[in-house]
Amino acid sequence: MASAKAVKQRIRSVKNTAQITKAMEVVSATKMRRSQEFAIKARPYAIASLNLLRNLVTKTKELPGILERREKKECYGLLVITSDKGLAGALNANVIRKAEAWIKMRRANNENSILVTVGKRAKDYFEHKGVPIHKSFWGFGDMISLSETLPVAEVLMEGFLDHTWDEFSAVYTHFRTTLLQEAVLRKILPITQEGVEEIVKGVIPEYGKFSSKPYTLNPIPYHYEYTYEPSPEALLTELVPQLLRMHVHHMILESNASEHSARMVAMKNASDNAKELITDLTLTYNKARQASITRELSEITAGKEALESN
Amino acid sequence: MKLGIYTLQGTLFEGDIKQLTTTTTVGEVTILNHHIPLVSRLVGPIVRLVDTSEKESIIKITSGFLEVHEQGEVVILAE
Repeated sequence: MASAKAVKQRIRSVKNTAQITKAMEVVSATKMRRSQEFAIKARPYAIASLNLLRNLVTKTKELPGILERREKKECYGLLVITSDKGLAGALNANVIRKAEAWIKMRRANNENSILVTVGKRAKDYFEHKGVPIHKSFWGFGDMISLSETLPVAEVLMEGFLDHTWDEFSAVYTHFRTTLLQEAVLRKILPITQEGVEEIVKGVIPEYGKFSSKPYTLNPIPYHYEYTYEPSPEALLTELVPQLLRMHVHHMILESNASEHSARMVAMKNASDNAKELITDLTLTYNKARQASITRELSEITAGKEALESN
Repeated sequence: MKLGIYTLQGTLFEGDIKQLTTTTTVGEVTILNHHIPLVSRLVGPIVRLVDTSEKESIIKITSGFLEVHEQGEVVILAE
């Protein structure tokens, strides 16, 4: 059995760790609530822009390049969104696994693929693996504005328009509930109506404080004629990129909210484990202490008896 | 008529108004009740509106999209 002193030292170090994980848990809980709220605020905007897009698309004969579906696809792109920091359970591992499966599938079909990464985790991982990366982004904070995520969307659009890739997908963490986040793969370019509807649905968490308002995306029948200033084509070429920017922004926000809740859960588990460990160690410590007392007592008694028998 | 001004950061305005004046890429427009359905691009810098109690207010936007529905509903997607 370990000495009482050694056990005591271990208890102290475990207590310190528990304190840190507890603090991280509380911080993540706050951050999670905030980023969730932040993602929710964008909801009316998302819904309104979808309605407008649907309306414009039905009135336009010539779709802008970003809506074009190409028959022949030469290169596929993938946007991988992870966090910058670890200690968030299986969050990043899940995203990376999904991305790996995608790359494997492309390779199996003999198709070209290229990555764009967001977050240090994805960048480090794929750089180490030697997977070609077109561009990497990292260092996004919690309360990012649209202008900060704009370069990501611009890169995706440029690449699509100059035929660097003909289809673009994204892997990110979909925030379903506080306890449940899942890595999802979604097609983002070319922009389709179904794709946009998915984004809007994704804005709302399924349970919890922010899931309150049930919301339906029933198309409003636009039976009347609109006047367009300047023209539907000109409006579409401005609205569609804006929508993509919003989409990318939203995916990053959602991954961010997921990161915080995943970390909160991971840290809660760590704190619970530490507590359990402390209970076990305290028991061991008490046993060791008791053993040493018994030993000392028997030594004294033995000594006394030896003296008396003389 | 109903007006909603939305941005990614939140809703700037939602409520009933009498009149709305703003600048589009082709010039200034004023929207009153029973305006024809219209879709346009806004250039900012402000949206001037008069609410039902005759109170005037100004909302700053940098750019955006304007959509006027037939039933007298105006949606502005602003930035």
